[in-house]
Amino acid sequence: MNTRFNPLHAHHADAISPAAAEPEPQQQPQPHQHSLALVINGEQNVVTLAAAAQDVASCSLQQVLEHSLGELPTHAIAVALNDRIIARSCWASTTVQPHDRIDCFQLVAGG
Amino acid sequence: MLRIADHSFHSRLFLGSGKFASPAQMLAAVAASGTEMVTLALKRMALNSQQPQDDLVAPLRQAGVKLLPNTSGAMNAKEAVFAAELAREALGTHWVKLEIHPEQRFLLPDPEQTLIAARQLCQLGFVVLPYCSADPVLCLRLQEAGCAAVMPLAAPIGSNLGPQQSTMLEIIIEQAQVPVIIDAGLGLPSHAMQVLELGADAVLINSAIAGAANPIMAAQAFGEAVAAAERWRTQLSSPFHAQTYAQPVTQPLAQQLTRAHAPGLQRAQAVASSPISPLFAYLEKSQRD
Repeated sequence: MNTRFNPLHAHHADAISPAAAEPEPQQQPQPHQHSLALVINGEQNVVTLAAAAQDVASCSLQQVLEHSLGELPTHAIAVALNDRIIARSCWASTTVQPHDRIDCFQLVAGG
Repeated sequence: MLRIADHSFHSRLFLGSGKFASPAQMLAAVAASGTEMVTLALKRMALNSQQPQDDLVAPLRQAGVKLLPNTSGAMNAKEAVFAAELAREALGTHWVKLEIHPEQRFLLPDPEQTLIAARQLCQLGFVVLPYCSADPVLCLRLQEAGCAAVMPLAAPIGSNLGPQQSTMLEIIIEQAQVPVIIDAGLGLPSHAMQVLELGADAVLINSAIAGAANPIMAAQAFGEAVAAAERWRTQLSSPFHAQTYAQPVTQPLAQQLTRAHAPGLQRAQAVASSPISPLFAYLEKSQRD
């Protein structure tokens, strides 16, 4: 069971584990509202995510990015957490804490 | 063929991708110019944007051009190094155009911070192409730091003034052991030719093309000018030197007149009736006499 399942992004293939495809009703954890105060791209934000009860203490960077940016570009994006660049392959395993600073960059036109 | 670090370029024209009216126009200009390297900048992504953000990277890669991220917006060496690392993560390239211009009115590069950042980035394994002032000593120091090229400005960014310090550029070119790419301030194809004829290895153009009435045609014109300068350089077996005294390329007129040259005179007679051809009128008269 993917305990970080986010109903806001249920369409996202990565958000649903194979086990979640046919859930047993009695084992389905009840989602809780989980609010995090974060600084994203220099702006104060309160990110509210649905999180499983046992996972309310933390959210992943991937969850926050999907919530804040919508569908993520598949390439040419870089993310820093508290001024430390996080490789894309580590987004899902990186935990975000309250008041963390997240900066998301992409390549744009420029000389 | 121009070689920078581990990469070879057929075209000596590099293009900045900023200021175009649309991504489609920029891509068309890139194609028309024949360039093989295009600069991009880093920007924070818009949060919860309803509009899809333009993806320039995929179409530029499809076009087969090398992407050169810059550190524009960095105010000091620390920010520039961070921007370079972000660009490496986003694009997977260790090439970077180092730009630090804390002063926003003229966007002149900060020489001290540029040198500090260049040293750090070279140690981190980046291929560093620093935008810098036309300062021969600074360019030497950047070269010693391990930069793969130096990019002295011709004039302030976007000014279109053309080379304002040609003597300094000549000294930079003479001293350089790495390619010299003239960046910023070139406003005309003839400006590009001028610096290439001085001996620069390449030029980087953005504002002059993106701000032209017809950017695609302008890109083509710059491409042709740079190609012409390249052909000119290729045929030179020794450095070109201008001279301040005349070297006649034709015989004096009096010698020509004494030579019997019937076909030429027939043609002269045909044209002599023209009021704008006093030479041919003179030839006709001298034949009659």
